[in-house]
Amino acid sequence: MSVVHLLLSKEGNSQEECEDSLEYREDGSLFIAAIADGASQGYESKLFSGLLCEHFVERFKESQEYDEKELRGKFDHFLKEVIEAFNAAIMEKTRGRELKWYEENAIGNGSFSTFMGLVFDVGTKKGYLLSVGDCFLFQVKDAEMKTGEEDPEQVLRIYSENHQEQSNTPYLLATNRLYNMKLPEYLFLSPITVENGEALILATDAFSYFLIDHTENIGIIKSIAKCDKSGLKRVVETGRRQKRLKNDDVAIIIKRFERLPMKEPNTLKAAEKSSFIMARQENSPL
Amino acid sequence: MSYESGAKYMHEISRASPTALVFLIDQSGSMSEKWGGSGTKSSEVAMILNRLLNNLIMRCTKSDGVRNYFSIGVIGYGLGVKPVLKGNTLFGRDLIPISEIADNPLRIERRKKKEPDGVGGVMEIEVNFPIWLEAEAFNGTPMCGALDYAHKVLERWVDDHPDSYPPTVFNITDGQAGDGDPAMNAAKIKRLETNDGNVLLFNINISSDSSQMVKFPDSVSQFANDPYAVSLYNISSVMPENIIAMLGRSEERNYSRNCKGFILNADAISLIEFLNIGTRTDQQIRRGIDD
Repeated sequence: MSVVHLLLSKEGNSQEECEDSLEYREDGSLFIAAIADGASQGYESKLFSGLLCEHFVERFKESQEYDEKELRGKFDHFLKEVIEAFNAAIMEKTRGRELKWYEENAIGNGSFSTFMGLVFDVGTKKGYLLSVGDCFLFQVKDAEMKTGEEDPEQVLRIYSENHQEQSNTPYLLATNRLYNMKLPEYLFLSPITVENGEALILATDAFSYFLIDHTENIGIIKSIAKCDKSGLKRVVETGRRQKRLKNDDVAIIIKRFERLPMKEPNTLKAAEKSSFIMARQENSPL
Repeated sequence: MSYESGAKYMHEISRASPTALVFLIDQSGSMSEKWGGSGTKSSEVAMILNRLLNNLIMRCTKSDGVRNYFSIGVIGYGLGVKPVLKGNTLFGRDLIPISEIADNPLRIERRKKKEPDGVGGVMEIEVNFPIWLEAEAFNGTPMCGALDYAHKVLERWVDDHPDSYPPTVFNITDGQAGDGDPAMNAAKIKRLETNDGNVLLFNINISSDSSQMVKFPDSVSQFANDPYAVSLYNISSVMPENIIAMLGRSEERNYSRNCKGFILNADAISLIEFLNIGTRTDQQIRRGIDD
């Protein structure tokens, strides 16, 4: 299995309340994926983040070449389409009933979401990334190799809209077009090239910052890149329990590019190993 | 933002783990003085409270209604010390779930709000502006009594919610305590605590000179000639480090690590920006969501 995904609501909330979304599609040599994190203080954030992901995997499948100007134009068109779909859904949901004052104001303020979309040709190993806000893509080199004494900078590359400026006030996509004025400034685009044996991890903010906190111990990230869904879930739950991962909704997609027909990784062990390392670090005098 | 375990004022506010916000409203006779050209101090105080409640409710509004992230108390002091919200079921209650406050304003006005027009300009749109509190100004200023009342309410609350984000008390006043020095009463409130930190006491001072604006100062140097402002500054909590860092980022300012939760004649919305019920967006912070 070369794609693993996990969508998990914050502990204490039902899965229906999860405002993160993800979609991916494998179509011949095309791999297209999207994750989004609806802002908890927006109205119908789950609807907005879901529409962003659904529309992206549908609309960007024809655009496999990295052409920044063209992609920016296409993204504007895509966002307009998503906003129209959002407004139509809200109209449908509220049809025939009187809105309370705060619902009217909330609908006027609209919804907000981070977003990251990946379009990839598995044949050429080339693709591109589009992102707004603090979703991240981690490119793990030699993900199949055993952990050694490696320089994290040589093994891991992190893509995001300026991940050095981590903030709890990210610029997000909005359903109210007036708030998207600065979007050209904040829309991050990048071409991506991978080699066999590498893995790509797309994640919304909580899990991303958890990974960033572990970049000095690349073995953990490599283990995570090899997890199956249940292993990944265990990593998230362990991280939350140990208070190393913020209790927030989580959306993760892992795409692995196997070097050779590889032995199915013992994913449970990988997850256990991650948990073990985290526990060991927690107990470390350092 | 990475998640740091062990730090204070980090607990997320949720329906399962709400926090309490108590607003102490000065309704004494001195609040009838003119303020800011057209209104009075009491009308300004009522406007501040109505805006703060409106802002909080908008942040709690989801597709399934208003979520109870906050229990709210609004205690007036002037003609006695008592809860002062009057809409329907709100009368006489010390702490009220925010969803009930949302559903029971006294009335709803339509007000104009400035919004960016998408092409670099500004346009006016009409929005609902609910009113919970009207201007009132009678009698003396029993601020110490009001602080004691808040202590009584919150003492019970912190016992019942040991793992919640600590309560915050907002004292909105022109600063002239009429029943003694409020320092002891304030200290007593600030000693209350949950596992996530001590109760915070913030003061919003409406002074006679409305042109002088100060926000989160770390000394009295800007208002040293105003004894009431100095007194309120002295009893205000030092802002928690993580909160001041967040405010600094969102306002693109460098606040001192020793700055206090004290505002003189300035916009008070930033006093509730930090309440962590989820990620706030750059756009929400910059436009102040409801004003």
